[in-house]
Amino acid sequence: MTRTLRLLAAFCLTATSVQARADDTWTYRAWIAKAGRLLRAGEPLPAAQIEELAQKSPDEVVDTLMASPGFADTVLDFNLYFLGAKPAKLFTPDYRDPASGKRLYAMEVFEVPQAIAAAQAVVNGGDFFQVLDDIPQRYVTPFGKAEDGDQLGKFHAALDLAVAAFHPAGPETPADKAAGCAVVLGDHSPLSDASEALFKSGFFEGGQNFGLDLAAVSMPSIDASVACFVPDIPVARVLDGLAAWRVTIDKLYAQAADYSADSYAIRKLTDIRTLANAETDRYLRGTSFDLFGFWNTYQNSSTNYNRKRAAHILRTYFCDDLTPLNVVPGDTSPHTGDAHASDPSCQSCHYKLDPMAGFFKERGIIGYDFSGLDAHVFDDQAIFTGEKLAAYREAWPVTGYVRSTRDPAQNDYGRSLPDLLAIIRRAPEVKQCLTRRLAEYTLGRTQTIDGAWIDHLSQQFTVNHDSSGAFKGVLREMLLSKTFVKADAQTDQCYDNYPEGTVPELPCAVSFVIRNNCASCHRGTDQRHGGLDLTHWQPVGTDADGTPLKGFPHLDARGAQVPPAETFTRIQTRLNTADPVLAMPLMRDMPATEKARLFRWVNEQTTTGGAP
Amino acid sequence: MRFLLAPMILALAASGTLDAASRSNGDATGEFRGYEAINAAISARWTLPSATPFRLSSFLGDTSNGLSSLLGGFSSGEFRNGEPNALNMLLWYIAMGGLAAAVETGVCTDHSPTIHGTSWTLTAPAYAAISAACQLPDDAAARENALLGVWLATVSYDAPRAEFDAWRAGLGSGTVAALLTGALLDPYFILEP
Repeated sequence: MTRTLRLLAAFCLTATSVQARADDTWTYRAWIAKAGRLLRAGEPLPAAQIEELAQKSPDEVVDTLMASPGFADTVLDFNLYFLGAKPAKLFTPDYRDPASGKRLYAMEVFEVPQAIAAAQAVVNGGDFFQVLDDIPQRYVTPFGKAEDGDQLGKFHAALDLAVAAFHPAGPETPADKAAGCAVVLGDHSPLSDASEALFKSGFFEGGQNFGLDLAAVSMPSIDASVACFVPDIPVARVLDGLAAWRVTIDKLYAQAADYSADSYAIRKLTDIRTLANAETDRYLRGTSFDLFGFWNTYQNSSTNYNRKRAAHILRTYFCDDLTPLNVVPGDTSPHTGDAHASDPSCQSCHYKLDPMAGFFKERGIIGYDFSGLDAHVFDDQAIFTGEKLAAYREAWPVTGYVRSTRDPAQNDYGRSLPDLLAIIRRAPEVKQCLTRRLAEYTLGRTQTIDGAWIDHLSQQFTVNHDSSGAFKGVLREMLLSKTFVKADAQTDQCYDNYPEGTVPELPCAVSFVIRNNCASCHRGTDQRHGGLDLTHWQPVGTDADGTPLKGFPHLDARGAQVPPAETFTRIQTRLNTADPVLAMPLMRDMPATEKARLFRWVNEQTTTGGAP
Repeated sequence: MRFLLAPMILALAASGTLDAASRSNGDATGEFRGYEAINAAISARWTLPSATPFRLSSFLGDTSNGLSSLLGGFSSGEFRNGEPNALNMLLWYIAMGGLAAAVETGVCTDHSPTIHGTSWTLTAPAYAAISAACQLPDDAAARENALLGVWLATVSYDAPRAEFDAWRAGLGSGTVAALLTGALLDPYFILEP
């Protein structure tokens, strides 16, 4: 039976009475309303459109909704959710004319260019996996008018003054640099006043065009600040920065007409344009590691280094929430660089956290690239130079995505942020994470989902070379799933399984994990495997109050059932030991996210002792 | 605030809210859909665009979004305050009850589509549906139609038919404000699916 027929059967064919028919008519409209809300980024479907769509089959409903302009907003909204950047609201009322009902995309959206690029790609048949990339284009809102008080001319004059203050014609001396920097950095210096006035001018919409202002006004200022702040940076680099600043601002003003509100209106997502010729501009090029979107949110420090950034990457792209579970240490040196991180109990997180943090080792305050410089400034404004700097740079013996502490061949190593993004692009864990996040977004953040079903759906991202088609295909499967159709799904139950129609005997939250990692050995109560059978979940007696208990068959040496609370405690211990003789799965590595999921579930069972 | 508790309990008990809440007693339930999602749904179904965009939080006396942030929403990329508890349910009740009372006064007393005490105007379909409930007809079929109109204008198909039936049975003879409050507080409307 096709999926459409199955759904129609669920909605209609079971109706036997007038009331039941009415209920099923309602149920179908409820599904349409729910699908409509999801595929229109939260915007409810008008009543008339629900009635219109009710005449179509479920697949046609999905087709229609995916072809509507609101679908691109859904993809954008999901991308932001996946990237951990979903704002409170995707839209704000148009501040220029709120009574019109027009909306503007929230400014936070423009800080996540990969989310926009991937959403536009899904609509235009491009590459959805741009959501995983570094995007060099800069998406912009319309520019304001550049007519107020010749701010550009005043800015040029202030720049000339600043350049002159460095005495660039003569031999460079520290005093020259200090004098010049005082002009560049001083409070209410002509340059800082002129750049601030420029930022507040109508051209930048008084700060409404936030990303652009930051790129063109704030970034060069920060660049000059760092160059002045670090003694070893020569005056020439400060002057290069000032010259680039002038080029950038001039380039923006030259495009004023092309991006004015008269010639550039954003009515839908695909209307959002990138800034022309920005990819090669030092300040205007876009990046997925946006100053406010990424670097400001995930700051580093002189004590924690870049681990906050690393934790974000692991959580966002790999769905790894760093549940602290002990790992069997490797034969070689630990993947860490300081005493705390080398402690065995701390290794539970640091074995993967520190190699991931290594990708960010050259990036200091607000993500500034300090590679090749004799100083490193952190977001907490601490400065490392000399021996301290050397020690810091040696603190990253390994940089990469670590899956195994024992078998380096399973790991993906690299050095730079482009290497990290390449790893993210090819890692199967990322495709699975993407699918899991899409399930959360579509079916509910707290809904339990069968791991086998997620794994099956995520295969579409691997086998389908059309990534946008794959995205739509996976989303369609979810919209037509039993979980989505169910009006009052219980969050601790699974409604969709793979293969379809099979109902795993084990609790669905962990059945896939156990099947993949444990069941090849623990498939009977043979004492060679501790008498523990992890392929069955059945009544195993009662507790002291007579409440029936469920658990795994687990026999002791005399053939008596081990109390389930003890079984769970033993499993917990075996999952959380660094002893290679005791650690399970024996002599094998288990994916970190699956191990964490199983551990958390076992932990819950330990608390309830097997009580249903 | 004590004076609000009695009508709240009455409203919850009489509406499908308590019925559906008891359905999930002891079972796993979802989180709130969040303030912004609910605000957007009410705004889209009930109100016309306005120079001052519709904000449900105004019925909390909340001008700085402080209280509305307790009703669930995304912040720093994560959904926060989504778990229902006594405090946020009270806040939901105050907000929805305040809105419902203002709508009832506007529609049934002032005979105006303007939500009483605000600058927001009901859409024509919402005004027509709610007006019809100001004086419910005696004829059973017509009465059913009028109540269905109010329900669909408010909750649409976000909740199963059984919720409409429970709401109609519990509040069908009550005030318009109670009808609207009950519908707006239906768990299928304010909770994640």
